[in-house]
Amino acid sequence: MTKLLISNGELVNSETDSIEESIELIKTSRKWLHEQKIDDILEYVDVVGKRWSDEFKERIGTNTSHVKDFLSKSHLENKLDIALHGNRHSLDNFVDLKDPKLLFHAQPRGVSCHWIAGNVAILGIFSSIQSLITKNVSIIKAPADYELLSDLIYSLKNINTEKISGKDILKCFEVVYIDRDDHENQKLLSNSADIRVAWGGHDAIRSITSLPKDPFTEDIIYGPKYSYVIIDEKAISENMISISQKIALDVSTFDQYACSSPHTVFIKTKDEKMMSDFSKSLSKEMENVERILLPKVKETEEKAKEIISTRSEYEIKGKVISSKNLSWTVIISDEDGFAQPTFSRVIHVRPYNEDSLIMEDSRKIQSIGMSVDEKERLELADKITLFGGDRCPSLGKMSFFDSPWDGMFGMDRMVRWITTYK
Amino acid sequence: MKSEIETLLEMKPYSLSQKEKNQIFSKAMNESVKFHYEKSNEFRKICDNRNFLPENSSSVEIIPFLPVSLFKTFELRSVPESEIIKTIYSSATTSNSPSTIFLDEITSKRQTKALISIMKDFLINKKNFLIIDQKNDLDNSKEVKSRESAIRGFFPFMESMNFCLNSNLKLDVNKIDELPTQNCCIMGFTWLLYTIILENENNSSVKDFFKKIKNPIIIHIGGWKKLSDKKVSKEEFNQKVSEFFNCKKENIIDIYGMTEQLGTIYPDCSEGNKHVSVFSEIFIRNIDTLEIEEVGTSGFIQLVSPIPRSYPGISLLSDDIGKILGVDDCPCGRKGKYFRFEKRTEKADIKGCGDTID
Repeated sequence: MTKLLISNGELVNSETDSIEESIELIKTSRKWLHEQKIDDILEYVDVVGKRWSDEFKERIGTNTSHVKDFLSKSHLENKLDIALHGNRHSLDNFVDLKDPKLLFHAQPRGVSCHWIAGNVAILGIFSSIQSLITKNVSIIKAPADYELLSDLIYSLKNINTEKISGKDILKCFEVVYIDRDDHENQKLLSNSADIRVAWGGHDAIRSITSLPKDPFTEDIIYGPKYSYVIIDEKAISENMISISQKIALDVSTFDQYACSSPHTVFIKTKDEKMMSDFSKSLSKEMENVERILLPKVKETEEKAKEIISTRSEYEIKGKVISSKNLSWTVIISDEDGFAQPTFSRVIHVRPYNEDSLIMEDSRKIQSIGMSVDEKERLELADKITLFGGDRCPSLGKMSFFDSPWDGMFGMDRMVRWITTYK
Repeated sequence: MKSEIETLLEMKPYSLSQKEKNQIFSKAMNESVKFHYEKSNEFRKICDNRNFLPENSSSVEIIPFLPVSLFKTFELRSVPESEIIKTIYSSATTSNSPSTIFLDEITSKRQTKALISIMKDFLINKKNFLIIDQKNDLDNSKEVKSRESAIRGFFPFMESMNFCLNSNLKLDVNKIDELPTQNCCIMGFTWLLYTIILENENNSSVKDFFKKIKNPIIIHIGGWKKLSDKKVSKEEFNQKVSEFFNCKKENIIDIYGMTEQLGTIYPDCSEGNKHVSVFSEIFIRNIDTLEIEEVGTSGFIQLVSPIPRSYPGISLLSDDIGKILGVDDCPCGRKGKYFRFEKRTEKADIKGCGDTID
């Protein structure tokens, strides 16, 4: 079943045989969007961030303040300037980027198609906004649980600024739901894309990237990735409760289904008692986060089975501290290297061994949350990201979307650079 | 002093009410729990992690369960390797690796005793068994050996044993006329039986042969995984079997059981319910809280039995979803709990943009 959710600035929510009309409609908004000044668009997005953080606070959850901060004008001005080689106004006209001979202009690529992953729909919002502020129109392929995403996008209709009308902005987004077996519409979507933004795990990404596309289409792949945490003795002895709280939050946000969610905490210590004390502290905070901040949604039978299996396996190989139900699990073992993720708030605590963290043949590592001695942080970050690892955020902020993300300035890749002589 | 487990095995399988059974069963489980806690490092670690002490085991419900997946990742033994007489492998339906179960003589004997006792309640006298499978001398693979081993468990009920398939797993039509037609029980693995029916449902000579068999009993084992994948319901299966083998639907016995707890099987009664004998116990666990569910509510099927000695498979959480339908009051007259199997859980899809690590 394929559905048009939002089309031509209206909430449609009806089944369709083909998304062809959506593709044609979205192209008609390209010129209008190109004519808008970037500062006006950023001002509009700033208001959107504020409205969403008020009106969708409950549904967005702990990411609300981050959504507001990320969409703030000053933040996006800064991020755009960095991504676009120093001057966001390159989106409006030719600018001087200090090349002795050339002027530069960032033109939008055109139609940006977003494949949004289930469970992390809010991350998809960030790529959609990035498309908007690089003046690309978007077709969003929503996940099966599309309600929040669809409601957020549709809310744009009633958000206006002095320079920009929400009705016009909404026409820059078509939102569709395409069944995974509907190959024809998947192909149509892919073929229409000037930019393909894909969020998803291994199978989803493989299926999206195998769809036909124009040779000039730019692919921006977010996922499939794995994230982890490194902490040291100093962090534990000085801030055990605080770092436990932050890690618990990082694990629990998105129920660990995001590429930025940590699955293993490596501790730089040989002190077993310290490891055990930290694990107990982390367990307490996992419970608190579940009870107070982020109640766990009931899992599927399949996932429940996996959690039970992982728990029992490590009851034999290590030690398991867990909620009585399947809400959260902390697993302590002396195994080396990355723990295989179970997802759904199962976090492993392991001793740090630098050699096993450097994977020469894999780009799978995304976020490495760090709380280590400041004197060695940058050196350590340099060493462990040589072959993989895209960001080393502070704890508690691992799931906060940022630019760059997955090692890319996404906004830079959403534009074509045009030059002319001075 | 006589073992409580051996005492339990002397009982008639469905003779006791749940209340009467609980006391005797609990004693047998106590004995078994203490044994495995002492002999199996893995079982002891699990008990310790869950703060469970065998001497404090006041009820069967609180005995820690092991998910069946552990038998795929660990070689679980509670006796020295020298005492192992047989190794059983499950079919690897939901993962790539099969469960490995080590049997010693005592466990094997107990399993046989339980199986005979249970099946005697369903098959009054010996039958000529027409086995819808191949002999393992035609294919010596682990899977075929494993299937034949399960079939041979029914040996005490066999007047004769006749394998009906050739090495290509096709009905051996050349030998079909040599097969007995009186006092027959047709037996096979669920998926294989169904495949053979589909292949031969338009073959009039085969159908004519099966028409000659009067009131056959059909026994099928091995689970529904392969048929669920093909979206074949139990009703549809029974309809096809009934038409093809010319038998009454109440004579079709689907046997639920696990390689990890051989012997304690759960055959369908004439009402289509699976009965729990005195040799084992079933609990239904809530999928989220893992608490024991009420009658009529679905959840994970937990299987408890004191019979395994050579491995700590005495309390298992299966991958299966089912529900208890009632206790002591099945119209078929058997006492104890009766339940229905609903489905097997599969591997979870990866959601979001996170991924596994290689």
